[in-house]
Amino acid sequence: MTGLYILIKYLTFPGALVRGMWEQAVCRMCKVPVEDNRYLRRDEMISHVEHEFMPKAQGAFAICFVPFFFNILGAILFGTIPAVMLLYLQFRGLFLGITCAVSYWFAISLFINAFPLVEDALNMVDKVYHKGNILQKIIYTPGVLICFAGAYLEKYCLTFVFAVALTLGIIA
Amino acid sequence: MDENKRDEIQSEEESVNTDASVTGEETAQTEEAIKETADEAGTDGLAQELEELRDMFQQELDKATQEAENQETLIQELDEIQETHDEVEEFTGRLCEICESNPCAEEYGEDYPYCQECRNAMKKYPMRASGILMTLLMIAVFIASAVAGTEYIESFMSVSEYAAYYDTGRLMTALNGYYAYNSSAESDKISMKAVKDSIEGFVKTGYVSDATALIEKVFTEKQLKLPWNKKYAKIVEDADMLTESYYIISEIITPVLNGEEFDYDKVMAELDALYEATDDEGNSKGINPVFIEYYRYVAMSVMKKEPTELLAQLEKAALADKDGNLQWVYLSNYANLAAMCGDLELTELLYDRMIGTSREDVNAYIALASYYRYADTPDADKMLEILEDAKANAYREDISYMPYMAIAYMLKGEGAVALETMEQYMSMSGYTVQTCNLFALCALYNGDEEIYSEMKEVLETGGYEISPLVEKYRKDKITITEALTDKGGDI
Repeated sequence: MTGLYILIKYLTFPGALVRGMWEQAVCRMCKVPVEDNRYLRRDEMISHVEHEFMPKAQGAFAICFVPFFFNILGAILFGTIPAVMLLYLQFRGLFLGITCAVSYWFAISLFINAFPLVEDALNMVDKVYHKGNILQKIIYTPGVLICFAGAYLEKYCLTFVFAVALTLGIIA
Repeated sequence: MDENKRDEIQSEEESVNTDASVTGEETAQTEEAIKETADEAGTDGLAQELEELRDMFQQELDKATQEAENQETLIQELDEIQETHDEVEEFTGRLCEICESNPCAEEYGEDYPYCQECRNAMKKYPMRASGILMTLLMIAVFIASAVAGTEYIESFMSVSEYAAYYDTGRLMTALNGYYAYNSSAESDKISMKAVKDSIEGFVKTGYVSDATALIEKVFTEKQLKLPWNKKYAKIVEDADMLTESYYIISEIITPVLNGEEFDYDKVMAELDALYEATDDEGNSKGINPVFIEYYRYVAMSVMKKEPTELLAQLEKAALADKDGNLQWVYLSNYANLAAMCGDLELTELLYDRMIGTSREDVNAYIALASYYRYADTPDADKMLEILEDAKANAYREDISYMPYMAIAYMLKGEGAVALETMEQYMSMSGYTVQTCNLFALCALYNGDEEIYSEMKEVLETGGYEISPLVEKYRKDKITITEALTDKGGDI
């Protein structure tokens, strides 16, 4: 499974690079030490940066949610035009076809790399529900649920399966 | 080494101290000797000499004292250095994994591997350029695709509108829109969605020749051989076989369709024999069985066979249509017969199938409404409800639901509305035997002999006679309900 996971991450390396960048940006904002910022590596840390656990609820939430949010936003933004023009309506133009194909690959790669590491997700749950105040618990809950579930989906390569199914669904 | 130095300095100090104490004693003794000598001698010159000598001794004493103090400071500093050195030698903890010189900052945990300085530096770990460059590249490609897309805005608007119709079951509207678009689109603006939907729609509705024409326009022969285009190649192949089947069957069935006299048994036997038909080389002609069964139904229908028999025959046609591509051949008649035979379950099943193909298919609504028309107790309200749906969903000028609305109004006792509906319908549509009879009946129901006469004349001009049902109703031999629910098909 790890081999498949790494293979998928390499196939979708644009999203992996962007995900890693957002994670590191959050670490810098939260002043949390980053131990290794190689975004592409041959282990489970691929597309993530090695960092210390966030000590506070908002940091633990941010390290999971901010990269997720921007990756999903990017996936929607970059994926809409290709999904409609290339996959759904299937226009035949060459330049449109090439740009849309690349853009769609970017969108899919952003989606596949949107979710946090399981360790980060667990830390987020721990910090939000044990150290967070009641307001944080209420506000963060939807994001926590999405990121937590997504972390496991990503771990077992199900985001890739979903992306492929979505693509085939649009074409069909 | 330091210890040796220290001993040396200490010995020097001791020697200086010894010298100082010796010098102090000597000075006191000398001063006393001078005093005695001065007393004894009592001369001024000697006293002055002694004074100078005392000053000299005093200076020597001060100098020696100063040196002794300096030695003490040095020893103290050396002690401090020694203490620090001892401390370093005593440290047995872990060193930072990065700098390997500072101790780990254990306040962050027992096994924390980094020192405070490195930890602070890691908080400002420089961002990698790869992530930022990739983000910029993504934005650039997105802009490029958006720019490329601007040329397609008009095409997008058209195709997406028709696609929405297609996806929501408004098949005829979508097909007409697609047809207009596909006919005028430049080659690079051809939408494969429009093409594929059109082909599928044409096949479903029986416009097979339009489907093959479009396939041949859009796909090259090589493209048709590709695995994912096989279904289009099959449509072309099937269309050729259907055409061939139709030509062969039409030779048998033409007299039936033209209303000429024909030998029913002979026609049925000839149609039946088509299953076994072979060409000169002994190969099966592959006449489409759906066509064979359907035209057997047509012949039976002309012979006015019972609805249950006709229904059974169309069931054979339906069973022969294994992939469901020829529903357009038999489905409408099949649903009507199911309704006429009072089989609500089958009628609803076929209605759903027809609506599933196109919710603009008025025949589906008519079939379902017919069930309530031919029911033991006709339900005019239900009929009207279904036909209102037909009105709402019908494709453009398709008003074929209106005569059935007139029937429902008459069954409901609203003759004036029925007549108005029929007048409207007759003004917008061509006359047929059935609608002329219905219009005449409707006029009689409203006591209007003039329209009845007019319709009778129209029919006679065309070589037909007015339906006996209308005549019977005119002579009060049957009620309006009996006339309207007769299954003979005249009205």
